[in-house]
Amino acid sequence: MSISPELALKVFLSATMTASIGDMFVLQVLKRYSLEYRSGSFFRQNLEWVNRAPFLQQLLGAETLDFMKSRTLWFPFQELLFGSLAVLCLLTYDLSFALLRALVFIYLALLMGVINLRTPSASYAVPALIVLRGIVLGLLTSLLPGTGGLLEAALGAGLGFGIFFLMYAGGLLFAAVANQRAGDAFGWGNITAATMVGAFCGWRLTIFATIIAIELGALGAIAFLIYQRLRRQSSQQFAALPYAHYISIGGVIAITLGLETLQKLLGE
Amino acid sequence: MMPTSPRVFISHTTRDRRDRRLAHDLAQGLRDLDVDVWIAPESIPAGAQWETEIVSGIMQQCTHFLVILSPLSVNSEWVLKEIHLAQNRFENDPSFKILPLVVAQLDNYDGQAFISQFQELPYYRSANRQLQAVAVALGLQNIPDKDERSVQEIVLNYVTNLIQEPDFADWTQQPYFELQVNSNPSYDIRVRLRTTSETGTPTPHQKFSVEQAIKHYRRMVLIGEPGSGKTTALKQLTLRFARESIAASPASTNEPIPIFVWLPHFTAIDGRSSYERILGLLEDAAQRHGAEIRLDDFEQLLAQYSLVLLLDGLNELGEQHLVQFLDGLRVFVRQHPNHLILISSRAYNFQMGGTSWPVFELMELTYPHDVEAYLACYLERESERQALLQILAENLQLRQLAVNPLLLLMMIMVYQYASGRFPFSRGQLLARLARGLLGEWELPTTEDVQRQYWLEDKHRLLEHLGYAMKAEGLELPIQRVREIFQSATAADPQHFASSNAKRPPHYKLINPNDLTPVVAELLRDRVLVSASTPDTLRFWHQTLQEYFAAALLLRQSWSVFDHDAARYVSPATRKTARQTLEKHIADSHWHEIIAIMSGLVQEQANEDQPTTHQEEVSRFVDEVWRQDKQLGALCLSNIEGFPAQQLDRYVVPLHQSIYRWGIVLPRLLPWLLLMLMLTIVWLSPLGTLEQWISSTETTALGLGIMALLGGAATVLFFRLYALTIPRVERFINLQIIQPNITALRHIRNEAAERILAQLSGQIAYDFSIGELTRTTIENGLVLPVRDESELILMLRAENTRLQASQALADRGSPQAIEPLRAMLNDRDLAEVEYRSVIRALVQIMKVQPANSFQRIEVISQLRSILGDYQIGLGKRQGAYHGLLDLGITDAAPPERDMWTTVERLINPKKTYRPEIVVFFLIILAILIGFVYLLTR
Repeated sequence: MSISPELALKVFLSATMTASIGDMFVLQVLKRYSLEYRSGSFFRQNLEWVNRAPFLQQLLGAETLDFMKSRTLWFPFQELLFGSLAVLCLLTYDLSFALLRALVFIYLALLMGVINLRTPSASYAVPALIVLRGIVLGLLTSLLPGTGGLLEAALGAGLGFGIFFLMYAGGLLFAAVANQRAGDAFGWGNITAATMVGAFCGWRLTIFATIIAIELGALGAIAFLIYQRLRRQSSQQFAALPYAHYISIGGVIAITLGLETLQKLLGE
Repeated sequence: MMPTSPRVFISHTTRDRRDRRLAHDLAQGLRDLDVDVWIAPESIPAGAQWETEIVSGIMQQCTHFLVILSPLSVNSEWVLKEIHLAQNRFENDPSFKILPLVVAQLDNYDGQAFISQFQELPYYRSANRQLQAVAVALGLQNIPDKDERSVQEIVLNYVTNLIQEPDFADWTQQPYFELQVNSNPSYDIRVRLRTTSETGTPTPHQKFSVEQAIKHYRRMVLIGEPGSGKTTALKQLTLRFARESIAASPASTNEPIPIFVWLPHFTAIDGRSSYERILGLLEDAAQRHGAEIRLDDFEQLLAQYSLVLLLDGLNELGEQHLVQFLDGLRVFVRQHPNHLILISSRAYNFQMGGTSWPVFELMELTYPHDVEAYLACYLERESERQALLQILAENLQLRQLAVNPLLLLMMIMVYQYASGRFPFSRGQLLARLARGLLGEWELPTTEDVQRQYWLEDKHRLLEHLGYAMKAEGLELPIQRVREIFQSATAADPQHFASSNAKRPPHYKLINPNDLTPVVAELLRDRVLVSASTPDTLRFWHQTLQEYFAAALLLRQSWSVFDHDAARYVSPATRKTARQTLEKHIADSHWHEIIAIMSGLVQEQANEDQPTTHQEEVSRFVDEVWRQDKQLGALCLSNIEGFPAQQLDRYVVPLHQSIYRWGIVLPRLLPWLLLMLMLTIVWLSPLGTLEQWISSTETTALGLGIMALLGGAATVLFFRLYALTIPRVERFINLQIIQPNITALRHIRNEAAERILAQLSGQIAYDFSIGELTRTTIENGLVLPVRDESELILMLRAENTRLQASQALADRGSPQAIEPLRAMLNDRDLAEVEYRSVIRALVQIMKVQPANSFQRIEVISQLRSILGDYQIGLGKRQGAYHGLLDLGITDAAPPERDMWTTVERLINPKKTYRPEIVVFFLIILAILIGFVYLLTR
């Protein structure tokens, strides 16, 4: 499918700008709801990001970076990524309500993933504030013409919830057997995140998203184990790892490629 | 018979300090030359009264009569009598020589006809030259030639003179109460902000004496409220440096030599460049205090010696002169970097364009310690001190005034001499003092002279003088003062007429053609004093001048506020009065006067109609408020007993304005900017570009250009965004938030306190609010430094709790930990106060060592608050934030109780926020735009 470069440019710019201001606002709201980041390391990490990225300081100017750093999480990577994904989505969906829906989802999923990675390791928070509103938004936007419809969305949400609830229950069982604390195995936040993915993607895409998420999660866990070996750290048998960002990535990939493309890819 | 060596009789008045010094210098100098000198009245045998026979007997033995003639001496009874005796002696013995020494312009006086037939001695400002002139007139030879002295001698002589200078030496006679200055090196006075250091804790206040501060920083600015003791401190410093330089060694060039400069003299100094004007100013100041120095010597002095330049009264330089002065000072500092410089200025509207000198604020007296010590300097009897302290202890408003040294001094005077109710506002205190000095009180004077003029007459004259001085300068020549008095009598003929029934019959009428006795009486009343040059006059203190100007302004504009009075004046007069008032309100140099005036309105109203005076007062405040909110608030703080419910009327709009501009706008601003940018992006004619790209051969190149363009636009957006928002914030902060916060600080009633604390709580964890706005709002709660024990007392009272906790946190004082912790156990404490107490505790804890027992206790208390579901969510959230601030990250955030959620749904008023509604409207607009584009 071909789209005009003008439209792509406009979509890219609008998406980037909206995201950068949206991030500020969301973080603001999250602050008010007591979701805290480790402030010291948080700001220092951001500084390092900026220092490592080539030419970024020269390009944006020190003042801009200082200003934005204090207000957003992964500025400007998160925003630029969102802009690029918006252009990809435009290729998939063209200008339609489905595009709008996909963009809303990608925005929320990116935010959720980033927050999940950036919160203190004691609790890899999946902010209910975003996820619960996301589920509602996903169901509501399915009413728009040109999208899958409410039934599709509800089925997707149910499926996402179901699959991960099974895993959650399995985790509980496993924890009971292995004498571990239940919360450590698999969080309630992951289930709600999967439900949100389902609500936006519809049941068919949810299956793809789940597969991608589980595969990525497995890869991530293996990578973590290798990393631990390399660092010669005493390997913990039951280490708590963040997981919600894999779900986000799965959902984002699935919705960006779209059903037709995925079917083609898998069909071949 | 002619004696071999001359014997000189010196006649002078002891009332003029300059005359007295000159007489004594001459006497000493002549005695060194082996001349016999009689100096009246000091040489009159002890125990003997001034009697014609004795003096006449002495004069019979003298060969020369030297009389020092000044405006005061020609009004002095003794000097006139002595002239008369000299005349008798001259008529008997023509060899008797009369040597008149005229030191200032004179009016007609008795004996003028006799004196004027002799040749006057030339008058020199320097004592040595004067001595030479006198010696020549006496026919003495072999006078040591002091003209070609080295700079070193000049300096030694100058410093010695300085110590004896009555202007400075007076300070040693009274016990001087040493005032402290308050420093915060990062205290940015231009925006009245206290910035926080990088670690997030505020830099603690440092206390210095002025002397320590100037020695340490070498260049500094000293600011203070009117009457906080700036001039006194500077004069005291001058004296100390002079003593030190003498004590060190007469030839030492290391010890700094003080030069005291009254900056308004700068206006009278001419020069080709502003640097030359500075040199001229310094030379002039040195000469005024007895240094015989020429400009070329002065350059040598600057090069060889280290000087301390004490420059007083920066705020009195007009804008034009200020620019020139600062210009010249910059050049001066560049060329002579070794000298110590101290500049003093009033705090209100302080500006010193672009220089980065450290700014120190002269601290208020602390209550009760400093106030007690200060009282001990002026009140001898213990019972009097206790009685005055009792009055202070009973009245908060009075206590707030008593921290100012000048006002405290006035209180002491009012307490000592006046009777009746104690005045509680600054304006009324000044009014009482002025009337007291002019006639109500019988002050102990050296001369037992009855007052000849009615105090109301004198008051009227001085009103006009004060008003004129505001425009023409704080020191005026006597001639000009007389002109002003004449026009004052002409302006109000009814009052000054003999038919004015209110004037008690035993008082004299003011005669516009002979004002010399009136001026003499005003000098005797100590309302006016003669300034550093003999033929100029100024008020005893600038505040007094401002009081009289305020009184005149009030009299002239009274019909604006009093509707009864308005009936008797023509509409045109009323209109002019209103215009004059508005003009002065708009002029920031008049703000201090308007503030004093606000206290007087009440008194004026009280006199006329005691029942309805509130109306006039509130009309006055409304009038000021309409034009300038900050000034209006300053006026409110100067009015005694303004009803609290009416105060709220002024507090609420201030709060609204801060909230709208300081909190709502910063949250909305990003979205407004986004709307703008999106509009630009979607309306920009990129279509033509696309055509051009599609016409090029390679699509890859076109796409590449597109991508580049996209990147450039994104970067542009981010830069624009980050540039715009802080600038808008700075503008809003300076123009709106800061004046409003200052106004709230002036009002300082309970509602204002609460609002400040609330705002400070609202923005505490809100990082869309910029750093500048945050600091301004938080600084609004900072009290001027007070005593720690008083702050802990204030913590107990409900209405002062908030500001006390904030102030204690600010100082990080460990004494406050226990009272603050006790307050946390109080379940009924409002959420605003509760959170402010927690913030204060955390701030203090941050300064404490990390493993201290108290810290552990506070953390455990905060944890227990966090876990207690009986306590409201807001309070628990405060505890949670406190724990995070103390570096405790494992605490779980408090959850919203289900019932509180239901409550919020039932009672939606609490959750209503205008900015959220506007935000959703904007989102809706974006969505509609998007849909429109899709369907197009």
